This record gives sequence, structure tokens and C-alpha cells, in this order.
Amino acid sequence: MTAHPAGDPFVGVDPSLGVPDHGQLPGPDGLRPRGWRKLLVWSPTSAPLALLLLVGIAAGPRGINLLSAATLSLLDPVVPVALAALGVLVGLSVGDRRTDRRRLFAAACLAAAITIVIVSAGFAVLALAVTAATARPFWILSLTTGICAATSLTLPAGNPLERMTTAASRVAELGALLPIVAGGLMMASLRAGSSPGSAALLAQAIGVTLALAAAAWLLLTRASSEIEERIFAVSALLLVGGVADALSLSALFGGLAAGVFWRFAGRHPRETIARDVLFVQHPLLVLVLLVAGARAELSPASLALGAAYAALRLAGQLAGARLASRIARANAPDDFAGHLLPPGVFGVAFALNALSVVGPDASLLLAIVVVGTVGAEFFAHLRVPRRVGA
Amino acid sequence: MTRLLALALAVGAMASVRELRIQGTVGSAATALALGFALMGASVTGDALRRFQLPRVSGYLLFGIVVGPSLGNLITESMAAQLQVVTGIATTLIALIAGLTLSVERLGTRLAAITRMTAATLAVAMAGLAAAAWVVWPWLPIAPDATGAQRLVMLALLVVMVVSFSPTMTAAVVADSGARGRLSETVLTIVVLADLVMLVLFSVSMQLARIVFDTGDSQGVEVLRRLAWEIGGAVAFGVLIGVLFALYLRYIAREVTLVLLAVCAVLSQVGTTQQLQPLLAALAAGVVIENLSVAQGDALRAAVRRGAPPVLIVFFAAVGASLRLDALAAIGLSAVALSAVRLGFIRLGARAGVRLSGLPEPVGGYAWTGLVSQAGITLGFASVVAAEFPGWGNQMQLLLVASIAIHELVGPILFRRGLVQAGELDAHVPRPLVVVSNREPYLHSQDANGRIVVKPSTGGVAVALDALMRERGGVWIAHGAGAADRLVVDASDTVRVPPEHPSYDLRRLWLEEPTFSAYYGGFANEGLWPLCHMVDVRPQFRSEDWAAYQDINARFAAAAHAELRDSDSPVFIQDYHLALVAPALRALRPAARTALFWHIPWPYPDRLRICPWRRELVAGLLANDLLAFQLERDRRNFLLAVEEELHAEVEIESSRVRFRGRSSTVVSVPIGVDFDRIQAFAADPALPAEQLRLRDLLGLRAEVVGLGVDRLDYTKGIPERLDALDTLMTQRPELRGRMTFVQIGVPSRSDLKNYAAIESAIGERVETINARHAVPGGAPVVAYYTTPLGAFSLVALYRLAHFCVVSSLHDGMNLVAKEFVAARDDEQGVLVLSALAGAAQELDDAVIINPYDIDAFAAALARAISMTSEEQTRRMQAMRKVVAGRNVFNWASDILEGLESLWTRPLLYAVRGWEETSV
Repeated sequence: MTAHPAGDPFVGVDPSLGVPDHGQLPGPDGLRPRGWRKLLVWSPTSAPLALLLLVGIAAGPRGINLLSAATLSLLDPVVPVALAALGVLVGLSVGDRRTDRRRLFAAACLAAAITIVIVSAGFAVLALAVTAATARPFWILSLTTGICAATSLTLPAGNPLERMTTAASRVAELGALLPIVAGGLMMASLRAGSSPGSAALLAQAIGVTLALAAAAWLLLTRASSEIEERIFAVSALLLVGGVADALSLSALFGGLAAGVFWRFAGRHPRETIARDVLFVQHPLLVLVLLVAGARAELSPASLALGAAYAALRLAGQLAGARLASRIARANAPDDFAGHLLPPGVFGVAFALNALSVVGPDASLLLAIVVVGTVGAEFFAHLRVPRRVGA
Repeated sequence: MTRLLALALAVGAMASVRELRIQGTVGSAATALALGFALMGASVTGDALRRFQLPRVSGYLLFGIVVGPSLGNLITESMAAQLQVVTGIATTLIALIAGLTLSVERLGTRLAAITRMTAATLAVAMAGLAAAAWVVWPWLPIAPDATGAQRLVMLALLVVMVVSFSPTMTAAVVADSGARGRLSETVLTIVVLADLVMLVLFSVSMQLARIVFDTGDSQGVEVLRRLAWEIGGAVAFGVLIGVLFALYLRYIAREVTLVLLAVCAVLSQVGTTQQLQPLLAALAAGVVIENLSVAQGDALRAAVRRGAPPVLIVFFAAVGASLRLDALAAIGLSAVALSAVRLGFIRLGARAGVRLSGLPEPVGGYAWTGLVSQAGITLGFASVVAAEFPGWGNQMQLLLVASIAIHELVGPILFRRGLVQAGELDAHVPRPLVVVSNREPYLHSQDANGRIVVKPSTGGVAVALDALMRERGGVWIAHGAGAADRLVVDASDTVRVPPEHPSYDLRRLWLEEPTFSAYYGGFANEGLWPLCHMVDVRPQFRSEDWAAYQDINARFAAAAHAELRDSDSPVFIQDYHLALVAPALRALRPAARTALFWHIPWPYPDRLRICPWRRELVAGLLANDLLAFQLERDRRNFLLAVEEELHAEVEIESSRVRFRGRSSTVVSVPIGVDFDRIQAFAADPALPAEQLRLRDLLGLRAEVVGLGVDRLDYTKGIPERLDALDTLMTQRPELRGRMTFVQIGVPSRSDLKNYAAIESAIGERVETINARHAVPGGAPVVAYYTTPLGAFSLVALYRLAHFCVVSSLHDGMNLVAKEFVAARDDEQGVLVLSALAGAAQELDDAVIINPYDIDAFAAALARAISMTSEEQTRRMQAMRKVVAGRNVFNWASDILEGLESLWTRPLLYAVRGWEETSV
């Protein structure tokens, strides 16, 4: 018996039914997790991120060296695949044409954009105040930090093809789209060195990814057994993650492109892909967090900047939620901001992705995001979403 | 075509990525890309080759060669090197799966003989190959100039690798061909045992090679210490990992696939870094898991099925990609010669092994055919040697890969041919069946003119088993109860039946009085029957009845032993009369394969305790390999009894009970009716005439006709049914004269006190009701008829009735309910069914009643009478789907297939993870 794919059996509740939103629902035993137990809950908007990151830091080369540099290099090929899998899950959940969902999408994008702007601007001001540097890497670091801060998503909904998700988890899902796309463009620009070059490279990479997604789709439509389906689905994930890795582009973005393709392709292949990605999502998330923790090079500067990251993110998400809830109107979840505060795994994933593409130059970014994520989770636990009607 | 298009797309994408990487001089190793491409492409290529009757593994290797650095260079040199990360996991996984095939329980007493055969085969093959290789060494493309100790250790490694076999390939051929029998089972065990020996020998040889080719820092005691560590430590480590994994399976059992792969990774990594032989550790772990985690077998099988194929496909593709074609071409001739010599010595060795072990035919003649294939473990050995000794090791790897390619092609073809000639393929040998039942399928008697007539049994079970026996042949052993039975049998008390097309033997047993009455009427029907049915009748257990029961069961067992020509023939024992046949038969024929179907309910433990000989009964039933009950409820009750009475180990998931060194599988297989035969009767043009005849015979002139068809038995709830009719007529007097309930009640076991009493009570009750609710000139309330009707007449009656009542107080299944539904292809009629009958578990669209609640029962009858035609149709359609989907022939074949699969399971187990890839 495996765990519920999303780790929470209550995510599939339609808000129109008037059932209390996710944050207010009790656990399977009828009780809401209390105290330290709530730190271990896995759901679309929460996971024991801080714990796993801290374990990663402790087990890493600067800790007890269980995750030594050699071990981490062995795990390197898995990281882009894990990131691609996360991108695929987000991609599989896009494309809801209902008007109310469009408003939600616009609201989520706006919230993410505001967070990006506030965090990026805050970091730019901070860095200018300290170093007065204005070179391109400086701006890129600021913007990337903003992108990492903008998501709140930990796990896409249990079944990404299921429309009956809560407004809160839906906002988190949709809110990941803009940062993933922005991150994809940024990494392409880092890789190509120029805007036209980056656009061409990104177009070519998307073309290759879609060709591979189409190949997987063709194979899945003709698969004769579950074993064969699994082989093709796993190979598709490896290929999508592998293309991004091989071209030093964003695996999250590659996964998103493939996920969107499968979302609009035939029903059977996309369900197969979703099933097999969901099967491995928990181990992959744990791996991403442990590797991110182990690879984080902590220093006084990174700790200070991480604290700033958490504070700026808090400000960004609160401001974003305030504006976004006006757009979403009645579709907005109660206590919009409360649901956007948990940092989610995508920010860490994106920083790890940047490290794998850019190399050691991005190690400061990863350290900031890791520290900031731990801090952001602390803030999020201080401000639990209000009860409905409270 | 679609697959090829997909492959073309993937190849195009890979070519584009290569171009983009060259333009951008990207430094990433692109391991994930290589893994994904190898997995997708090799899978498609393997499938394509499969369509040409070639092994899939050849396709995986071919794909690796074509896209690898030697040819297409889509997988570049650096990517091919990255693919080798899978090698460690894959080879340990292969060894672990091989270990999973070694079940001590399954091998039992034959293990010693098989071990002797393995030892002899290996000794002859290795000695012969070593001698031949020594002589031709200067011409072998490995290290022609090597001499002395270096040549000796290289020779030792070469011989070990050349002789090694492929458990997975052998198992895949068995699964593909559906072979069953001694040869397939023995060969699979031999290859696993042989590879166990090979792993040890490989470790020793590698250790020696390290000493000879190393700087020479370790000698003497140090060498022995390292060897002991490498082998002993590997086994200990493997056992530890196996125990931990078995515990994980038992107590956690989540994400088993991932944990399985992680276990392989740990075995590989720790083995390599700590100088333990990882393959040996994996094999030891597999043996421990198989023999400790039998109950968790399904979870493990599913994990292997999920996890193994992708890893193994990539492994073989990686091996293909690492091959240098130019070198392979140069080495081809040597590989052919090596294969020919290997084949000769293996055949010689197998012949010697058969002589030494005394294993019977067909093992002797064809065992060598299953020892030709080579695959994963040999490739794993070769990879290790190549990695550690890059010079001559690479040459050796090339030679082995070339010869493995030959063995991959030739081995499966040879083995399949051997299985055909040994008669182990399903299509060639339908195995005869032995049925043991109290009642016989054909009774001979004499008519008024003294002529002998034969009357077939018309019961659904008898008809189904008769059909199976006609198809498969064999012997049916039963009590000869017909008046003229003795007149038609031969000297061995056997007569060929059926009379029109004799196709099997009916062996009759003559059971004399008073033993027969004590066995049948006494223990079986006054003891077990009321014990197993929850009715208000006290079971009677008498020592003399128990002694007779044991005696008669032993006589049935002796007859079965005498008739069993081959222990592999399945023995199908029928019902509660013969619970002790299996232990008695097993004492005479330990390898017999028996299944028993228990047709009546099994009591819950508290009630079972009434029986003084319950432990003997339960233990006796556990002597069967397969024990089948009607319902899940009965199966559960039996398993509870097993735990409480015998303290035997029950494995809930696999439904197996381990007791006295054996295991029995306990299942529930609900019985059905001969749906097609009833349909044929219902469509017979003579049916309306038969209905008219029955109307006349039973005086049916009422508008509404109800029906009950039963043996006159206290479990059938007939008095309760009559009480409900009485209540209905009292509450709804307008039905008087308008409704008749036909009760067909066939007397049975009338010599038993309780049965005689119920017969008399029913007769009196019918008279009272008819007198109480009589309407002058109107139809009687109950038309009571005690003569048995033939199947055709029953179908006619079922179709006359507006409703049919089954009101059992407790019943294993009750086939009347299903017969009524099968007969109603007009989709009309209402079934009023007791919730206490087993049929209610399946027919929940009947009007379900509690026969003890008379008022509610009467209300249900009123509801049945007034039910709309639309509702009747809806309910009947749903019930007909159920009844049509489980006919009595399916029931019988399900049990037999279940029995036979118990012996194929370990073989399938070995290949479950492989059957989709057939590597």
C-alpha cells in the first residue's frame, strides 16, 4: 500500500461544495496535526522542507560527509530528472478554460510577479548598498533570487488531471508557472549570452523536448502492458530532464513544456505519465531537498542574505496576495496570503537547477535560497491560515 | 510502424542535442539523456526483434551497438562511460533475482539429487574447457603471450565465465512456453545453484588474479584472509541485507520497488568499496528474502516486475554501446569455436550428472538443453574483469560478449526443443485427472426387464467434472452405489464412461455396511453437516463413526494411490465426506498434488470446538496443496481455525498456511451453474409443452405462481418459508385462490432422525396452511411435490414461476438461486433469497430476506408479487450478468488451474520481473 500520491487525501475537494479549505481540514484520523507533527505533513502547500534541508546540510560535505562530494556527483544525473518531473506535474495541470479559473490564474501570476519584483528589487538595493556593483551577473542574481522566492508550491495536486482541487493548492500550482517560465528564459540567456541567442536556443530546446514528448506519446499509445508503459514513461522523464541537463537549460521549464504537451495529447498517455511521475514524486522531492541542503555552502554572508530573502519574500507574498485577491474576487481562497507564505520546494529546485547550469557561481544563490526557505517556513508556521468564517 | 516513428523522433532529437552541445561546448555528461535514450530505444528495438522470434536481449545489445560510439555515436564515448553506473545495480539485481528462485520448501527432497547433478555437470564442463583452453591458449585472442601463473588465473577466470549459465533466460523460456514439469523445474534449480558456485569460484579467481597481476603486497595468510572476507563477508553481508529487506517487507512494505533498487545499489556500492563480492552478496540476500518473506511474495514480485525491466534494458544497451565493433569482428571466429566446445562439454557434464544423481527421465535426456543460455551474470563477470584489468580483461569481455550473443540465440531454441521432446509444453501433454468423490457420475441399474441401464448424475458439479474428465482423461474414484454397478466393472472394479464415448475410467469402491452408514450418515451427515451449518440441530459425534470415516477415507486414498500413474497428475477431492483422503494419500505418495473443494460452510472457531476431532480434520485438510471454499467468509473461518487449533503459520496476503513443513493454499472459489445448458433448455421448443404438463400435474391454475425447490433438509428453511406464506395469506386474504406456491421437496437422508422429522413437519405444515386459507374452487396455497424433477422440467418450472424463494437458514452457496436466474432469459421473475445463503454474497439484486424474521419475509413475498415488470427486468439483468460470468466449468477449471499453478508459481516467480523483457 503506497501513500496517497499527494500525501493528503483531502486535496480533492471542490470549493464550490462549501467544504472547508485545505488548511482547515482535519487529518485522516480526524485530528489536525499539532505541534511538531505539523512540521512533517506533506501536502500541496506544505512539506517538511526545513527539516530535510537541515538534514541535507548536516549530512553534506560540510557536515558528517555522508553525502560526500563523490556521492553528490553520483546523484547529479538524478537532479535534472527530478526537476523535470516537477515541471511535468505542473504542466499536466495547466489549461483549465473555466472563467473563474482564469481569474485565479491571473491572480496567481500577479502574486508571483509582485513577489519577484519586490524580492529582486530588495536584493538589488541591498547589494548596491554593500558592493555598488552593477554588472550583468549582479542583476541576474537579484532577479533569480526573486524568481526562487515567488513560488509556494510543494507538490502539485494528487492527480494533476483532476479539476477538483482546492483554490489554495490551485493558486500555488498556477503561481509556479510564471517563475518556471521566467527561470527558463533566464537560464537560456545565461547559457547563450545574448537575448536573440537565448531565444533561438530556447526554441530549439523546446523543439527537441516536444519531439521527445511526442515520441513518448506515440509509444504510450501503443504500449501493450503496464510494464511497457512504465518503461516508456520513465524513459520520457529521463529524456526530458536529460535534454535540459545536456544543454544546460532549465529542467523545470523542459518538464513544463513536455507536461503541457502531454496535457493536451491523448488521455491515456497523459494518465500514464501522471501515474508514474506521482509514483516517484516523494522520493524525488526528498532527494532534491537533501542534495540542495548538502550543496549549500553556508557562510555569514549567505545566512544574512538568507534572512533578508525570507523577510523580502514575506513582504512580497503579502503584497502580492493583497492585490491578487482583488482580481480573483470570490474565487480567491480565504486568507490568500496565508496560503502563499509556505516556501514550497520549487524555489529550492530552481536554485539547484541554476547551480547545475551556471556552476559554482550560483552557489551563493543556492545558499541564500536554502537559508531563506528555512526562514520562510518558520514565518509560514507562525501564520497559519485562518479558519473559514473566522 | 508507430514505434519506429517514435524511435525516429527520438533519434532525431538526440542528433539535434548532439549538434547543440557541440555548438555550445557544453560540459555536462548528459547521463540522464543517455539513460533515457538507451531505455526507450533499446526497448523498441528489443520488441521489434521479438516479432522475428529473436530474444529481446539481442535487440537491447544491438541498439547499444548501433547508437554507441562504434557506429552512430549518438551515445558518445563519455555518455557510454556514464551508462556504466547502471551496471553495478543491474548485475546485483540479476543475482538477487537468481537467489529469489531458490526456495528450500519447493525443492524439498530433490535438492540433494539436483546438487549432485549440478556438481558433476560443472566439474566435467570446467575440467574439459580448462584443458581445451590451455591447449589452444596461444590462439585465443586474449593474451597469447601470457605464461605461468598469469595464464593460469586468466584461464580460471575464462573457464568460470564461459561455463556460467543464465537463470533468467532459462526461466524466461519456461514462462514463454508455458512448460510444466520436472525438467523445467530441475533445470532452473541447476542453473541457479551453478551460478552460486560460479560466484564463489569467480571471487577466488579474481582474488588470485589481483595477486598475480598486482604489486604482490599480499601473500599467504593475507590472501586467505582477503578471500575469506570477500566470500564469507559477502555472504554475511548479503544475509544481513536480506533479513533487513525481509523485515521491511513484512512490517513496512511501502515503495518496495524503490527500496529493492536501493538495496541493489547498496549491495553493489558496499560490495565494491569494501572488497566484498557484490554478486555473491546479492544472491545470498535473494535466497534469504525468498525463504523468509514467503508471505510478502506478491509485493516482492510486483516490485521486481516494476523495477527490474528498466534497469536491465539499460544494462544490456550499455554493454552493447561499450563494444568495439572492429575488435568484435576480429574475435568472431574464436567465439564460435568457444561456443561449440562449451556446448560439447556441457552436454558431457550433464550426462555424467544424471548418472551420478539418479534424476529420472526426462531430466536425463534434455537437461543440457537448458544449460546453454548465457546472459546477465556472465556479462556482469565480464564487466568486472574488464574494469579491473583493462588490457586482457577487455579482450576477454569481447570474446565473452560475442559468445553470449551466440548462446542468446541458440540457447532458448534448444531449451524449448528439449521441453517439447520431454513433453512439458501444455499443448502436447494434457495431464490426466483423478477425481475422488463419494457420489459417482454414472449409476448402473437394471430396469424391469432386467436390462442394465446407465443413469448420469445431473448435478451441476458432476456435469462439470464429467466434462473435464472427458477432455483430459484419467480416473474418477467413487462409491459404487448403483444396483447394477458390480455387474459392469472389470476385474479392477473399473468401467469406462461415458457410455456413448468412453474417455475415462470410473473406479468403484464397494463400501459395506455398517461402515458406510457410520461414515456417510453418521460422521459426515450427523456430525459435520450440522457442525458446519448454523441451524438448531445438535451435531452427533460418535467414536465409531469417526473410525469409519477414517477407514473409508483411507480406502479412497489407497485407490487414488493405485490409480495415480504420475505424481504430477492433479487429484481433485470432493467435499466434506473426504476430508482425510489427502493425508492418507500423502503417506503413500508424498509428492501427490491434491485439491479439495469444501462445498458447505466452514464454522467459526467457537462452533468448531464442538467437534472432538477438529484438529485432525483441520490438519487433514491442510495435507492438500489447495483447499477451496465457496465464500471468503468460509476461507477466513478456516484460517482462524488453523491458527487457533494448530497454531500454524498463516500468511494472510498469499493465503498460504505453513504446517508440518508443508504449505497449503486456501482460496475461495464460488461455484456456478451450467449456464449454457440451462439456456439451451430455456430455448427448447418443447418447453411450452412441458410447462403445460407441469401445470396439469401440479394443478396450477392460479394467476401468481411461487416456487421453492429444495432437498428436504433442515438447513433449507422450508418451515420458515411456509410460516411466511401463512402470514402473507393472513395479511393479504385477497391472494387466496389467486396464488399458489409450488414446493418441490425431494427427500434425502430420510434414515436420519432429523431428516425424517423435518419431512414430517413440512408435510403437516402444508396441510394446515392449505386448510386455513382454502377458497372453494380456488387454487391451493401450497402445491407440495416430493418426486425429483429432471433438469428440463425444473427449467420449465422456473420459467412458470413469478417468484422463486430460497430461504436457507445457512447454506454454502445454493444453486437453485442461480439456476432460477439462469433460466430466466425473459428477464422476468423475482428471486427472494436468504441473506444466509452463500448465493446472497453474489446476487445482491435479489430481494434479500432473513428467514428468521417471518413478518419481514412475508412483506418481501408481497413485494415480489407486486414488483413492476421494469424492476424485475433491471434486477434480473444484473443477476444474470453475475451468474453467466461464473459457470460451473469455470469453477472447476479455476480450481485445477489454481492447483497446477502452485508448481509453476516458483518458476513464474523467477521470471515475473522478466516476462516483459525476456532477458
